[in-house]
Amino acid sequence: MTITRRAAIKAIATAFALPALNPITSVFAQSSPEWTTYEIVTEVNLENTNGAAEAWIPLPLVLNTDYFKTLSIRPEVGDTKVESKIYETQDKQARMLWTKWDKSASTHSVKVAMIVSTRNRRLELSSPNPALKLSKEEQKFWTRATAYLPTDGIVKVKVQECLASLPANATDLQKANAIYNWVVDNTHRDSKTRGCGQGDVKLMLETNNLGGKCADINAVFVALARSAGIAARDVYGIRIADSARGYKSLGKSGEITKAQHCRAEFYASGYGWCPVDPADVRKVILEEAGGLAVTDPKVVAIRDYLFGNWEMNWMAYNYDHDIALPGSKLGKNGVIPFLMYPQAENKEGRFDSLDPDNFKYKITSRLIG
Amino acid sequence: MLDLIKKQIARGIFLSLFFICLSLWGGYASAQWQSVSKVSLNQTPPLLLNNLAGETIDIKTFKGKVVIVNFWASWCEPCREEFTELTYLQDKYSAKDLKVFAVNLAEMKPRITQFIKGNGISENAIEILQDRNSIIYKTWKARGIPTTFLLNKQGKIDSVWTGAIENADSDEVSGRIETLLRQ
Repeated sequence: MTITRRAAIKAIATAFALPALNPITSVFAQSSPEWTTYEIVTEVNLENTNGAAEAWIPLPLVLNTDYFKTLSIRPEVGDTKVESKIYETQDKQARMLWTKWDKSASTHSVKVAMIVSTRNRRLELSSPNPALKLSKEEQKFWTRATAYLPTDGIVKVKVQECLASLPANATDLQKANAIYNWVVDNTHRDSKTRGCGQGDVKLMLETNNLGGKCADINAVFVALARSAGIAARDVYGIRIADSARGYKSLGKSGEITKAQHCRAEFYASGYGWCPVDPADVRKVILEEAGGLAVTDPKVVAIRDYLFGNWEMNWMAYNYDHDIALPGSKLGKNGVIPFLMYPQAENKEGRFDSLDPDNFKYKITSRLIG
Repeated sequence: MLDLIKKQIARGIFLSLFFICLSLWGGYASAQWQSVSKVSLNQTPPLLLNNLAGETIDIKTFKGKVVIVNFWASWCEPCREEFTELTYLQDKYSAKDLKVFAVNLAEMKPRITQFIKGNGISENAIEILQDRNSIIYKTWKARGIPTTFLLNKQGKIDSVWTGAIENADSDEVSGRIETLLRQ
């Protein structure tokens, strides 16, 4: 699909907007008290570039869930002739706005507004539903190894250490809890880690350097869980509002350009996908009120909360790993471990996705209902 | 439950201290030129990159010189501290046929220029190459920055230094370089 400026405006009113012509009107029509609605806008304006270029902007989850819904996605391109389309990865675990500028382009701007609704997640242990179980194919898919998430070797050794004190008939919920506690106890947030980290679990375990940020710490949880045969996945996203639970370090509103954050889930038969976030426990320990002891009541409370709960002041982008950006001239060399930041390339190569000031890109969020 | 949490905390503190000691020991142990077998490289991988002036540099054309290939980024604190050591080595041994390449990892030119100017480094003090796509970093099998490779006059990798070079004047650092320069 080729979109010129006029065609893009037409597309806004047809392909991407939900039933009402004005997406915001439709938001209010569909909202209920427990759901909160936000508009998130990502603007890319490639600096110091002329001619052919491409950009890939992460978009919200392909499929809606019981805690997250995408209400509309509205791309807008600049004045030049560009090709822009929404692209879903083959396994439908991620989608992105893919924009291509041809060699005659002198400006390189693209903007996408996303309207999403969220509600807080809570794992309800009192009422298991026997119908909730993964198929064999799904179980295999969500326990697979990836380039950065091996499930054998040192990962296998570590998970045996995590589960050593559990009885042989321990449930997946108990195993996941033991892994969660091991990750919280043994990792630490390293403020010097760039972006959200790389999530290279093998390297972290082999070097005994368990410091990092969310993509590292939660990846350790996912790799260990998968190694134990528990379906698990990273969920890459971005903070979109302040925390209503009183944790300054766990929220961001307004200008959210650098607020990317990934979380994790595991699957427990009878309960479905269960939310966890050991990385945010470590973030509270390091950053909240200048740093807190692990015994501080605020840490104890968030540690308890983040096994089974997510405060949904956060937008989920995708679950995907080892992503080949469509059209990238880098081919296999350009595969990225995950898609949480805008990406771009020109004839000189890939832009630095962790440097929004020179890239340039900007992401904003506002509460709309 | 409280006892369990206390045990977990005590275990966490013990393990944290253990890992800190291990990492310190690891850092000390790796502060030396090590055999290239450490990174499983049988031969010198290609290195063809643009410098800041946009000229293409191929290290194959530097046979006859001892070459240092250092992988770095401006956001990496040890790399920043190491930069002055690398410029010192380039200055000290340039007349004796040492060439230092500082291969920047995935950053864009404005960020690199900002780093150079901000630290009062002359643009010509050291040859900075741009590995915009991290492809060279991957083919050289570096796993972390800073990492520094030392190549002999035949263009073969002699040894690798993992972590920051903290004292370019030390026997460990310059001794090996001088041995290669004499060959």
